[in-house]
Amino acid sequence: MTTSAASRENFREPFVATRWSIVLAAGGPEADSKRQRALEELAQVYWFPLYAYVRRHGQTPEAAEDLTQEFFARLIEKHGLSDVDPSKGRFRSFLLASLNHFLANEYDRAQTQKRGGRRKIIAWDALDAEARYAIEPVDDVTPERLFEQRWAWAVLDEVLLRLRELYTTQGQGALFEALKGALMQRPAAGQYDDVAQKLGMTPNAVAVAAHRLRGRYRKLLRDEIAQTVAEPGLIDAEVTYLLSCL
Amino acid sequence: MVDEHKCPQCSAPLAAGAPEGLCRVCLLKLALESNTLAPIDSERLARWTPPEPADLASRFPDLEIMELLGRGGMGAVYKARQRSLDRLVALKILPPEIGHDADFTERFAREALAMARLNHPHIVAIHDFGQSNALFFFVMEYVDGLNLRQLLNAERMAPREALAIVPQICDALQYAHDQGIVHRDIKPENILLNRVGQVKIADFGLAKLVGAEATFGAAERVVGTPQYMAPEQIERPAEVDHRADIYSLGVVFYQMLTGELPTKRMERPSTKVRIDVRLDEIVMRALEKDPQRRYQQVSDVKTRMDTIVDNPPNAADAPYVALRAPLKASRGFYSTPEFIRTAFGGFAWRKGTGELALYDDRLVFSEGWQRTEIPFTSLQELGLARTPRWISPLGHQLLSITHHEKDQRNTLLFMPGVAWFRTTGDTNRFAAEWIIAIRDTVKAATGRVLTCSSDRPAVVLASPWGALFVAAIMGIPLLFVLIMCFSTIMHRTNGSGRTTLPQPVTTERSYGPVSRQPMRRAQENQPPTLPAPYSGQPAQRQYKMPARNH
Repeated sequence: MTTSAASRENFREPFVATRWSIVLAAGGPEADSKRQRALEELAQVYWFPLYAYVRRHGQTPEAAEDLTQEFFARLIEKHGLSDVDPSKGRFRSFLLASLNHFLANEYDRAQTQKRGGRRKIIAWDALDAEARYAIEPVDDVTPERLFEQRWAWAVLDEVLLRLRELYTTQGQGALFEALKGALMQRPAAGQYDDVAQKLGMTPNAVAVAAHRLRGRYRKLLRDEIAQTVAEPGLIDAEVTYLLSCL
Repeated sequence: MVDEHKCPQCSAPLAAGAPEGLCRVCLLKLALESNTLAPIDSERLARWTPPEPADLASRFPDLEIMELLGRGGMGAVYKARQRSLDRLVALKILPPEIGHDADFTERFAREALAMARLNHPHIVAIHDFGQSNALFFFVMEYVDGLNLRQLLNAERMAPREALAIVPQICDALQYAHDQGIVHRDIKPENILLNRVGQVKIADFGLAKLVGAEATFGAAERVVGTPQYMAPEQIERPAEVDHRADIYSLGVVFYQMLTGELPTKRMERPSTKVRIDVRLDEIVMRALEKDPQRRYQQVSDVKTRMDTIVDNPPNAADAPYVALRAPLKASRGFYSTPEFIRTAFGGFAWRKGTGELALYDDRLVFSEGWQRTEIPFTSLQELGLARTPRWISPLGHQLLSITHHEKDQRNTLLFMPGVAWFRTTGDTNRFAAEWIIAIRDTVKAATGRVLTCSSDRPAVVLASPWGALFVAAIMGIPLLFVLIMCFSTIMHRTNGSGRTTLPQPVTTERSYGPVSRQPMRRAQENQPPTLPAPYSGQPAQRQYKMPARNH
């Protein structure tokens, strides 16, 4: 048995208590505060798909903001949403189901009670939500499809942001800028020779840096997706699904 | 600015707001990309820079190291020339992180010896191995070609290509399993294809050697590529046996057929691509999660495949065509003598368009969903035919295939090509080419020489109604013109008593200068009449002139 546990631990994608698995875990006051923090973190990354979904349902920007904030507030307080079963493996599907539930049942109450007394989970003012929503193409995409597509976008945006930060804090911002194209395409031999010249590195070192960039990105991306599924076996399936949403 | 760009990889347009100007599809796909699980710390390995070819030269005096071919989780591979034998070889060096353990040298020697003993046409041969200044290396056969990953990335693979590759992999795996060696890392990167399409499998047992080293003395650990690994390889790596290779082969096979990796709720390949449904069974059984339920020997996979290829399924539900490429195929117009004997067929001989395909043991004619299989044994006669001149005045020649079907003699008339206007030279040449191709294939397959009436085309009997119909269609306009001319001449002769150029009878009440002559004639013979209310200006002027004379 120890064999299996040891090998699991060495597995490249260690699945130690991801945010979503914390959310799913039940019991204990300590667990509750952990759970709250985990949900807050998830909310910071994935608020926009929800906002876009609510907007596409025809809400005004103000109402959509209120609803999104209120939705996360309730989710974190664990009130009112307890009848949605979170055991369905994916944070994304859980959120959408909960949101639909919330919009159907709680909408009136949210309208009357919460005006003026907004609870802020997400620091909204800095986000420019409407500006982002305004660039959405006006076509006949259903709210669900828009939600899933924007979800996939949010995952990628978050991962690239973190990757860029990682390089910038190490003072390698220029290297990231020069090599980020390698994330789309495995670099061909000699493709980054001019980069090498510009950065004063050997072509070989640049090739290794590109390889490392891909590796780091891949790990970040899989880690991020791991945060939103209940078990590591679902990562590939989730990636495949997100690909179909793009 | 990014709007105008297309993704260089998948050529999808880059939408506005794409993160860092990168294509989202490609970015997500990277998460699925195969990366060998490095047994050592992947960050450390990533930091490892494979030495430059020039730096290696001093370590390998017998080799002229030419270029770095690639690197992976288990080392780097260089192209080199072995000076003593003047041949190309591949030099693989293991990352220096491997081999700190003193016992590794002994293990390396033992495992490498076992790998070097593998001598099979579909396994990359190991010429030499050893240790040079703490650097472990193999000298291997150089395979000039591509690996399966590059091939899959380049284009969608046709099912028959997959059917050509898989049996070769089976042979190699069965041979190695018989020697007690499990590959443990079967994936497209390790399946090489040389320029003539021969499969060569690389890195046999390397996963075990490298993986075991990392935790030597402790439990064996996970080494492999997650997407291609059998479930037990991830969960209980110590218990892995040759059936893990069968699972990985299943994944590779699935990917070759469908272009995708199998997912948890896997769809059968035949629901995604047009292939023989019996192939589903092979793929799905190889992909069984429980090793007990898989094929127990990789040779069983090959045997089953051979059965399928050799026994084409029934014509009704059989995409036989998809399994093998036809030797010759073309679309064209077709008909039958029976159809041409009908009234409509005698007029327009084409019954429809269809496709004729020649295989090594049969002809297949398909029209939409309808398929007619004509095995060579039922072929009776081959020849050229043409329809009567009133249907095809130029004499286009058709391919005529006579065969038996359920004691009935059927003839198929086929004109290769679907263009509506063609020269007889083209159609006749195509028909003759088909005759030669069929005759030669039948002779090669059965030894029978078919009767071919290729020198003079037989004329197909056609319905006389057709001729009448053609005559009617051609004749009626001619008749009409004749009647018109005749009636005009008659009119001219009766009206003025002399034959002049026929003038339209209506000009008397009509316009301008052309009508002046008949007008004057009208004044002489009869009192002026009021012009018709709709006549134009010139006619009115003419009417006033006689009025002033009074």
